[in-house]
Amino acid sequence: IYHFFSLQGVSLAAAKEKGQLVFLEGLKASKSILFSEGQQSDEANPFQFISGDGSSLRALHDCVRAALIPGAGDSRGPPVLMVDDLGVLLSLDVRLTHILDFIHYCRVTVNTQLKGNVVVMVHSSEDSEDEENERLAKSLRHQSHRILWAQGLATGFCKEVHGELTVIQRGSWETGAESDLLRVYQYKIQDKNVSFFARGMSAAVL
Amino acid sequence: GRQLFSSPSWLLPEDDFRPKQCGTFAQPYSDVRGAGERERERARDAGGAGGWRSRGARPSPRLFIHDGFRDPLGWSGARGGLTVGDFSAPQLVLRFSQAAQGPATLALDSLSWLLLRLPFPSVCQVLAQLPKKANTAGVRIRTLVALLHGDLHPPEQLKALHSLARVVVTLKQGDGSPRVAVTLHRKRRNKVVQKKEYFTVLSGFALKHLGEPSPAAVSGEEVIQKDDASAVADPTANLTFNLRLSEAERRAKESVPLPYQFSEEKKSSLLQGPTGQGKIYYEPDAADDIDDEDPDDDLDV
Repeated sequence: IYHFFSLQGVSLAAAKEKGQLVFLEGLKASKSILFSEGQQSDEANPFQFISGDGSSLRALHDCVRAALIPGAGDSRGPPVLMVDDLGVLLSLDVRLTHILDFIHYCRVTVNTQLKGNVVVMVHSSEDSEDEENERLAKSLRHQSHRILWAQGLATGFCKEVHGELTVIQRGSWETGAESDLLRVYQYKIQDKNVSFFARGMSAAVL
Repeated sequence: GRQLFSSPSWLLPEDDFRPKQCGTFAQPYSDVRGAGERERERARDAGGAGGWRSRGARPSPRLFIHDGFRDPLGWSGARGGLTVGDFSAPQLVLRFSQAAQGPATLALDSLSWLLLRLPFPSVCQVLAQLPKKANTAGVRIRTLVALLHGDLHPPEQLKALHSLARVVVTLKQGDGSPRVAVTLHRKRRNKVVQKKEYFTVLSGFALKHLGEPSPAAVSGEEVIQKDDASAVADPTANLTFNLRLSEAERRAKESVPLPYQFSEEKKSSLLQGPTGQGKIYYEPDAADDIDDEDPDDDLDV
C-alpha cells in the first residue's frame, strides 16, 4: 500500500526522504504478524487484521490518517492515497464490508477533509466467478469519478501495443456532463515511461 | 441500474414531486460538495454514494441533513453524526422529532450502504415500521425515498424490497444521452401502472422530462426491426447470380417437354409397329476369311 504526495518527475527515493512519499509496505508488515510466533510487540501493527481475528481495518485507516494529516506549519498540497491492490485483502480473508468501511473512511479523510484524491486498484473481469471481488469492484465503480480500465488487446500479443486503456469519466452533476464520457487509448510500457496513443496509431501499424 | 424506492405513501402527484424536490435539495447539496465531499452517484432527488443520510424536509428550514457519511462507524469519534447503530425505528424517530415539524419527505442515501452492513431483515423491518413509529411520536413521514444500486445486491433481496415499496423507479443509462426511468407504481385498488420515461438532468439539478416513447414510434421501430430480421434470415438476398425468373422465362421453361413425359406424338411413334423384318447388311473386307463350316475359325484359341 502506497501513499504519496506528488509524482510528477520527482524521484521517489528523494521524495521519500523529504517525507513527501509515505510508503506502507503491506508485505513486510504482514510478515512480522504471520511469523512473529505469538510474540506480540507493544506497537500496534496496522496489518493486524490479516491474522484472521476478524478485526476491522480501523488500525490501517488510523495509520493512513496519521501519515496524511499535515503537521503544524506544514504546507503540503492535497494528498493522493494510492492503494495497490485492494482485491488482495479479499484473498487474505478480510470481509468485504471491512474493506468497504476502510475505503469509506479513506474517502472521508482524504477527499472530504484534506481535499485529496484516492486511487484504488482492483482486478475485475466481467465473466469472473469471484462474486465478492466483482461486488467490490462494482461498489468502487459507484463511488468513483473516473475509472481507468486497462486490459490486454483482444487480438492477442503485439510487440508495439501492450494493451488498451479505457478512461471512463463518470458523468457527474458537478462537471455538468450528463452521461459517462469514454475514451480509449492504447499503450506501450517502456523502461521508465508509458506511451499512449490512439487506437490504430501504434508503430506496428504506421 | 439504480433504483429509487418510495414508501409507504405517495401522495404528491409526480410532476409536483420531482422539480420541487430537486430544487429544494440543490442548494444544500452544493454546500456539502463545497466541503469537499465529491460524491457523484446522485440519482434524481437522492444524494451521494457514500454513507447514508436521511433528511426530513419541512417548510423552514426546509432541509435537514443527518450526516451519516463522516463517521458512520464511530472510528473518528465525531459527534452528532448518524451512525450505523442509529438505524432503528425508535432512534430515527427520536432524531426526526427534533428536526421535523410538518409532514416530512425522507430521503435515504444510500440503502445499499446499509444493506451491505446490516442484516437484511432488520433493514426491511425498519423501513416498514418507521412511518408508523414516527406517526405515534407525532412526526408525519409523507414519503420515504431510498437510493439503491441494484447491481450490488442479490436479486431476491431486490425483489423483497420491490414488494415493500409502493413505487419503484429504475434508472438506466440509455444508449444515447437521455436516461431512462422505468416507473412501477402500485396504486390503490390493486392497480399497477408501469411506464417508461426519458429524462435528462440539467445544470442546477433541474430535471427535464423528455417524454415517453410514443406508441406509434414503438410500433414503427418494431416494424423496422421485423424487416431487418427477415432480411437477415433470407440467404438469397445478396447473390451474384439470378435466382428468379421473368414471366416469359417461366413460360419458356414450362413449355420444354421433359424426357420422362409422354406426349401424344412420342407415344404414337413408340407404339407404331415395325414396318418389316430386320436385316443385317455386311460387306466383308479383304482380311476376312469366311468359312461357312467353321464360324470360329478366325479366333486365336
